Amino acid sequence: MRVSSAALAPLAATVLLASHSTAFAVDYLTVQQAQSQLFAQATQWSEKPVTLTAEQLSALRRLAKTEARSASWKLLHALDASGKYLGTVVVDQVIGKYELITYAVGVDATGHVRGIEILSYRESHGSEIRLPAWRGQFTGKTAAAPLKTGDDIALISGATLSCSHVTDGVRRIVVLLDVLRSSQQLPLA
Amino acid sequence: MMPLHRRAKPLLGTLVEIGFDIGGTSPAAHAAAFAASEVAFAAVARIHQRMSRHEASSELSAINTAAPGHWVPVSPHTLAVLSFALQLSRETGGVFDVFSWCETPDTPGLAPWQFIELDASGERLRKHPRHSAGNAGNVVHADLGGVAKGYAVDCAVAALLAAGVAQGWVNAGGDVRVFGDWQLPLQVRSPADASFCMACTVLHNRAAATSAHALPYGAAPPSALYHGVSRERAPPGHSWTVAAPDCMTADALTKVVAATGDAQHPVLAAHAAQSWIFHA
Repeated sequence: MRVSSAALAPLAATVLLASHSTAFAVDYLTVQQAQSQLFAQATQWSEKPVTLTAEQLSALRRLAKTEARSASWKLLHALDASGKYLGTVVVDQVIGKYELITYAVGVDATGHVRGIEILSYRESHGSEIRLPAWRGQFTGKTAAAPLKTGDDIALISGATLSCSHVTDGVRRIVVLLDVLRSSQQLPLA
Repeated sequence: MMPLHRRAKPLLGTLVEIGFDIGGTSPAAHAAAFAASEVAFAAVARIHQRMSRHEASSELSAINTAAPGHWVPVSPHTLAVLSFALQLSRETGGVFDVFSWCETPDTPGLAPWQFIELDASGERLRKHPRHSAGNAGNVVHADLGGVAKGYAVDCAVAALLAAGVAQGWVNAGGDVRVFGDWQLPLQVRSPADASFCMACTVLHNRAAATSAHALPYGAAPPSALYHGVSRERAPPGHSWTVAAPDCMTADALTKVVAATGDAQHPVLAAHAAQSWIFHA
């Protein structure tokens, strides 16, 4: 790799030519922090694991126009002080070409997205990102117990990484909740 | 430089990351930090809504679908970006141009940006009809692409400063701006292999952006690269980084350096910018 220029200011003296693996990781928010950002008025949370039936899985695949990925999901229902259902938070992970992104999406009681929070971002070079062992090393890591690799702040510029896999993931979760709502598997608003 | 508030959201088709000094460890300081980043993300989303080519309700869509000769009202934000784009088109003789032809022009010697007229009031603009034909056919359309992204970063920084944040950064998929006392290292992804980075410079009260024609991204090059770049094709396996006082300027100037291959283009000095070209 070469750099062929040409800077006009003294800052150019800081240029180093060595390239190195990024392989960096950042923890943004804990699940709990994301929950309170997405549903600030929630005072209680109810954790609800769901397993989709074969019919629900096929509906999810058809309506979300993407792979259903999994039959098992964990829903975090937000309730206010009077027990009224406000909406649901779902935490999910998506894998891009070089990155593993964990995010939380909040969907209100009528099925509309309230917000999306990125919980963590892991970047790797090469194909190790697809190996369960590589992904497994982050299990249980949160902003409260961050990885050492994420401690240094480096701002990265360059070919923009698309977040279309996050967008696809959000759509899958919105449809998932629609499917569950129409089977009366969500609390009533 | 702790404690740090660090938050990211999917916006502008990429991940937008905001990081800043909370300035305290109390629960109130943390709550204020969330409120500040919320306002900054909202500023980014607002710019996206106004200036996206893909949103039918955006001001940019209104401009693009307006008949020539018809004045289109624009908000101060959109006007700021468009008037900067037109200024840079003038300064570079059309090398930089966010406008392109809707159809093959029959007006030799004129560039797309020359069909745009800003009203003296600064509140509206219009497209001229095609001069030689004199008809009302649509002439040009705009794609603000990366320039709007850079401007969104600038607006997010302004929102953070207004919220009392002393120092931090905003990074919208590589359009970066650092403010306050912090000096942060900028790394640039290798255009030959995006999973590797190279140290580039240190940013201190300064912005940077990179346009890349990266090799591993397959047959379809990132379209943003060609926005406003006089339709010239820049070589693959290259990336062009520009540092400038603000992020809109940095992003726009990457297109000039990419199109000309000139890392010492005179327009860089005029905007207190510097550039680096990386290639495999």
